[in-house]
Amino acid sequence: MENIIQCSSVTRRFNAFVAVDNVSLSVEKGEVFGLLGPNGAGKTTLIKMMCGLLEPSEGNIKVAGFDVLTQRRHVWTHIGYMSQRFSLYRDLTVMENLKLYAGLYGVPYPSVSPLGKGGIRGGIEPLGLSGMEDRLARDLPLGMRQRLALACALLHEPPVLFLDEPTSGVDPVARRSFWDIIYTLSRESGVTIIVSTHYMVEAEYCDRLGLMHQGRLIAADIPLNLKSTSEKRSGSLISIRTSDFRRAFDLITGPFPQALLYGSHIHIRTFNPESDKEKALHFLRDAGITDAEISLQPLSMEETFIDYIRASDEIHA
Amino acid sequence: MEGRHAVGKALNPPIPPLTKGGEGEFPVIHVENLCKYYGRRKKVEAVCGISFNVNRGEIFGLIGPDGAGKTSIIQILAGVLSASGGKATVAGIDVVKDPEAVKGIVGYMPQGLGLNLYDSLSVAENIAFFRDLRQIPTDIYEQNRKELLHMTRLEPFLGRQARHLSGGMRQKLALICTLIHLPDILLLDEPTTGVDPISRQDFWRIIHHIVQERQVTVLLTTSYMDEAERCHHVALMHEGRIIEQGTPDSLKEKYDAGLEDVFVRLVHRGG
Repeated sequence: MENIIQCSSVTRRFNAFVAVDNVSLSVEKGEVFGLLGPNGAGKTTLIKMMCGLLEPSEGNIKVAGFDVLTQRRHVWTHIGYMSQRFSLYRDLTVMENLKLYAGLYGVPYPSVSPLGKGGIRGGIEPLGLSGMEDRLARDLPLGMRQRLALACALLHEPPVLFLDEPTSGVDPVARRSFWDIIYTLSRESGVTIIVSTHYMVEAEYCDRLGLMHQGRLIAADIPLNLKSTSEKRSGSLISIRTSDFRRAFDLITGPFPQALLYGSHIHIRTFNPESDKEKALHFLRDAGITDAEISLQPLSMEETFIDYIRASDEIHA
Repeated sequence: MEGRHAVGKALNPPIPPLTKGGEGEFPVIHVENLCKYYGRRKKVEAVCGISFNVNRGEIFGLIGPDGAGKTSIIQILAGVLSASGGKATVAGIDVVKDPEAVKGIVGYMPQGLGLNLYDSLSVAENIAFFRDLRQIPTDIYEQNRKELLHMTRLEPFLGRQARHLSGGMRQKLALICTLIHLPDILLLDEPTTGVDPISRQDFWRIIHHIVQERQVTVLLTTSYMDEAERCHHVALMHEGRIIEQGTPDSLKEKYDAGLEDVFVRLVHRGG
């Protein structure tokens, strides 16, 4: 597969602050690539540089074969960008926003459209905006505003789409259907999608994931590999479920000091999951806790990420 | 800023006595048919028909997206927002009738990273400010301060101004300031939003620790569905209403699905 995005040793400084620190990254055509990290990790800065909206202090970036510094205009015709704040005109209607963006992108109206042919209309229906053409953007629910912003970013049918925290604050239902659209774009239209998020659950939907921490890209791989690497480094996760979890926790921290309460469950990271399951079960039974159930749990993305951060901090300490 | 009226209140007023055993225990937080309307002519309904109980030593999560009404409920219980109808008691105090009385006994952390902090004060000065505000006896203060600083790993930053802390560190300092007077009841509004994963893990460790040690009662809000599993009891909120509540395990078993799927399914069914 060809790399449609190539970042080579990209750094961005704001005075003394290093927002993005020596990031090298390549994204294949048609991939859904997620950038995961907390606020301030450098996700937005990196995305803005890939879009040619911000110049790198060091390094270079190529998008769809064009250099974002020297061939910015070419880059712009190949990308769609949806910012965190869904840059819509709140006092324009849905249709007026679409027409405005068509004009800005130089798309003849009516002409090409997101998700199929048929002019701007064709973009409205698959995105669930039918019947809302005359409503003001500010009156739309957040989920709908998000779809309108997506429709605007797709008007010129860009092969690469950048989404900066597109689902922040959106409810799970709207978030779910938003991801359906993203998959359709990627799988059926071959659009490459770079999406940033701080929702760990959402990160699992991506084909590949870049973990960002303090401006650095500390890992980039498919979610499954990230998890198995973390298991190799810090052990598997076993979870204990019992009605008497408070007492069980007080007791189990004796033989398993690394045990953590997770709601009403007890989590233990271990390199010997099978033998430790038995050990914990016997230990609790001897203490009079007979209803304990112990199971091996898949590692959550959050647990995985934390493990990568710890490992990275050790290297950089 | 309303919390400052708490100056001069007793440190830990008595909580209603508990009956023996968990069964029939007096709920620490009791909410019945609570409603809040905004605007003239009571046009905008923020929350409606909200009912739930939080027992002592329980971590109760109000889970839902932005705008679901979670903050309104927390603010009413913290005595900083008046209710439009219904009943709400915290440790036996009727917060609908007497919102001032509750401020002295709860630890309330408002939404937004470290909103209760003073940016120009250092970490140490912020903590000391809350000691004075809450009039905490020296021995309790010193011990609690030490323990909280250790758990949050903020000791190395005592001299740093609050404005120069990262988001996660700010939120942990805010938590220290909320916990420094050893409240028995905690009301935390979106304590983990926008916080880095390690700070978030620290946060949950502290909450579970104080609940385990002192049977503190915690009501918190979050928009992260995956955090629901870190609570003992959850209420899923959508458009001002509770659409389902129970323990995370009981809900997962009832619907044979993860909690996010439960939410999606209930919303589809409802509308």
